[in-house]
Amino acid sequence: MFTSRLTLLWLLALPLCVFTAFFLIPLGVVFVASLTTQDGQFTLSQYGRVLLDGYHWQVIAVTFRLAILSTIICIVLGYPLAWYLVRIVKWRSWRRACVIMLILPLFTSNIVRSFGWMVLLGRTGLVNDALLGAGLIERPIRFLGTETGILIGLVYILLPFTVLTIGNALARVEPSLEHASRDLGAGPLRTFCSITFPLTMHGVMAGGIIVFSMAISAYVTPALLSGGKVTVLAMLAFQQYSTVFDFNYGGALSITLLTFTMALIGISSWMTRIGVHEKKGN
Amino acid sequence: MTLLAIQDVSKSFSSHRALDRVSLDVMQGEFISLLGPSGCGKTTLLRVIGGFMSADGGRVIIDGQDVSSLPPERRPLNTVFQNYALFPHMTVLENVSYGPRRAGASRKEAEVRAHEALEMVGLAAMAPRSPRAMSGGQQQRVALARAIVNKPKLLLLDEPLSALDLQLRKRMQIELKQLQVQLGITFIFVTHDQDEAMAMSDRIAVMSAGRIEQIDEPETIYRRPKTRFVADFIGEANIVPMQKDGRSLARDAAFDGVLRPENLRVFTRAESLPDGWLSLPATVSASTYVGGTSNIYMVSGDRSLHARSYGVLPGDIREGVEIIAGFDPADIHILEG
Repeated sequence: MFTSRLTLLWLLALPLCVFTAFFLIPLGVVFVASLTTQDGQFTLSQYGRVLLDGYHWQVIAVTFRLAILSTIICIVLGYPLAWYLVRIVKWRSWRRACVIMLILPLFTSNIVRSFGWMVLLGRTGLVNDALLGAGLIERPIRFLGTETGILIGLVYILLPFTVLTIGNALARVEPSLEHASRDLGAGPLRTFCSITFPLTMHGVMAGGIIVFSMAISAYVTPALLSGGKVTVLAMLAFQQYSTVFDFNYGGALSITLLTFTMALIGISSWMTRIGVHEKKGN
Repeated sequence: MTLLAIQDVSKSFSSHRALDRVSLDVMQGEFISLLGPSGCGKTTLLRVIGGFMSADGGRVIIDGQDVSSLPPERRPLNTVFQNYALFPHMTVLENVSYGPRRAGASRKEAEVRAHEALEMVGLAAMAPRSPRAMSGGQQQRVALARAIVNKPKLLLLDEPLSALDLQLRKRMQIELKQLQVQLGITFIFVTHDQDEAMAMSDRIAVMSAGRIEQIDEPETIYRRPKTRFVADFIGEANIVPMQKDGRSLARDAAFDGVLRPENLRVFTRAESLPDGWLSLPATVSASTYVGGTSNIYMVSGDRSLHARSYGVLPGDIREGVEIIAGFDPADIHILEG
């Protein structure tokens, strides 16, 4: 037992060092900076600047709206895709090909992908051309510089995460459980709602949290697809760091984003747990 | 009254014929076992009856209604699954009340009925627990309660006892049989364990390679097997070459006579053979004594023989000893064809 405990300590030492050096210390630096003035005095004025300004609240609202919508869309699109991959595809090589196609966009640079979407979503881009050609619209839709455009870009990058986590959860649901539900008189829809979906909830939650945290902190996609017309919190923070060089104000913006994000994730997982508890209760 | 009629049901998986024109009639209140080695098609047949798998051809008729094209939720039967298939995210009570809820009962009514079913299997106190925190035997009972709560006409059981240890399995066999008699539900019980099938069934359908080899009462299956497969699969069998009339031994194996080990006896001298008995000279190759029964394994020409008797063997029957294996021709059963 001693040896294993000692070994465990050694094994943990390296990741712990890396975590401290590259994650906790920078975060601490940002946090301290957000609480000080340029000359090192303690102050809360940076947060005052962030939270007392209506403009910032507007940016926070846009940021969260984009992140929540992309999370919902990724789950709604990801579930059927995962279902197709796990339940419908029988041929192994085709399933592998689908998974590769799904994660292929992740191999390219974020910037290249976003430029790709700029080309596709432009006034004379492929999407508008196709819609015009099909006679579905009369005038080109403006995607660039709108939240819709950013949403399309975000969903495109983040969809694989929900498909993979939900697919993994779906593959673990034993078919005999669904058979048992059908056997007890539940139709396919009722079986999905009462058995399959609750049993894949952890995959949905995991995928949702990944997508949400990546969408809320996304910089490149919103920056490129917004055309300067839509601003998210990460863009504001980046401006402060790279253009204005106000590390204190930038730090306060970053910590604000982090706090709101943690709060939302905390609330949603707490609500899920309450939901599970209530079900157990009766 | 026929409750379940299976008519010419076939099912293939690519090139493998899992069911080959199977027909079977099951009476109301009967306990039927589908018995056979793995891959014989018994589980496939159960899935076709349950509606989890569609047959390539043939019909399944329950209580006069052709259910061949109905989905599982619309068939008047329930199933106890091999791995129990209890819903892990629900309590025991929720698991058992799931059926009544789907049948349209109110939550309260469903819970009352679930409690009744749980009481029947002796688990009423476990209702608020999670099935994941229960032993295999308890999960088995929950699965049983969940399957009988809707009072189906027909209960399908897919090797429900195979995951339990021997002691518990013996006890559950008795309880299951009692429950079946008490409820009057028709049971179709899939198993590969011949003792289990013998102990519980009214009739046994012995299956092999997608066909029903024989369907009869346990005693008939044991005493008068129709085929060599049934003779070998149920209990142990000595195959002895016989004349067609079953009265004398044949030189060339014209007909296979099935002789159970308990009907074969060992004599040291030809004079002690009772009148009318037939005998084969043999050499003892091994002998064992297990819990009250003795087994003697012999070689006679190119065939091996097995005799079983109660009590301890005489000391002079040892390995390598020449003896005479004798039997009463009345105990031998001639296989047809």
